[in-house]
Amino acid sequence: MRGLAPYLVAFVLYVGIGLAVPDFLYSSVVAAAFLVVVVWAIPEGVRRLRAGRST
Amino acid sequence: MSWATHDLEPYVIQRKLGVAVAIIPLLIGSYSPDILSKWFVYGVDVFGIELKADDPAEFHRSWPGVGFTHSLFFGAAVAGLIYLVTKSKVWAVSFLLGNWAHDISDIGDTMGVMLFFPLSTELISIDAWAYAGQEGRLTDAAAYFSGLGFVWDGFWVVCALLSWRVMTRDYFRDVILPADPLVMQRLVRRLGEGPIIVLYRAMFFYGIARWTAWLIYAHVLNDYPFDLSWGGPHWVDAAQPED
Repeated sequence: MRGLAPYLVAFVLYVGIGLAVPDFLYSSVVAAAFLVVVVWAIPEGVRRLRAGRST
Repeated sequence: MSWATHDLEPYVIQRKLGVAVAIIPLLIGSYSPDILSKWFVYGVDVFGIELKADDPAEFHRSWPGVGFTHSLFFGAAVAGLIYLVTKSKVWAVSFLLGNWAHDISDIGDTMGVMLFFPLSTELISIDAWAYAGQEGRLTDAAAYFSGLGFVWDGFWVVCALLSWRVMTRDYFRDVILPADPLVMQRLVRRLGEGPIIVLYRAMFFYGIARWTAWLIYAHVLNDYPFDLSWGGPHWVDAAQPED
């Protein structure tokens, strides 16, 4: 379930943005980039920041 | 035309055929019939000049036009080229299956596809839901998600969810990576597994998310009426092939 949580967050964000700006829903490339940013890049950035502070 | 179907069919095919197919060419094949032409069907505004096909539906599906991209021959020809370049049967067959799945899915709308081009330019259709690309992309979306099109997409959403194991990390390592040494294994070696497994899951996510969003857009935020009758919704002017 922990692995699923970021995807659920991304799902809610994506649907929300898409409803506010429907053009957002048309591009598979935008969707892929969005998912990578929300599910991987942001958590990875935060993890590296925290690791940097703790050393 | 179909919407989330084209995102989700490749994952269901992947689940059925395992290492015999690779997900990247399956997805490229699934998007290939529309990949270069859809913008010209809907039209785009470039510095105040609208670029749009004079007859979007005919341009998209007929000849003259780019309708040949929705033919079985086109899929086979590009798959043959892929095999010549890559020497990978898995890539060629995967592209072919993705492309043919798209072509056959699009038989469902009122415009149909030239399935047997160049032998015939007849548009094959079962007229189940209205083709409304010529009405602009918002109306197209609202119409598709008000007629049997959204049921067809819903069927693939269910099939994809029943194939949920394809989304697991174990499946990615045991099936997806061994099936595609050509690209997927190289990407993982170069970028690491983290971003690539997210990318692998992206079109599955996209299909289900946009199916959900368009339903809410059409029927919660707006009042487009459902019309699940054959060929509907009839509140939109459905494109039909010219004689």
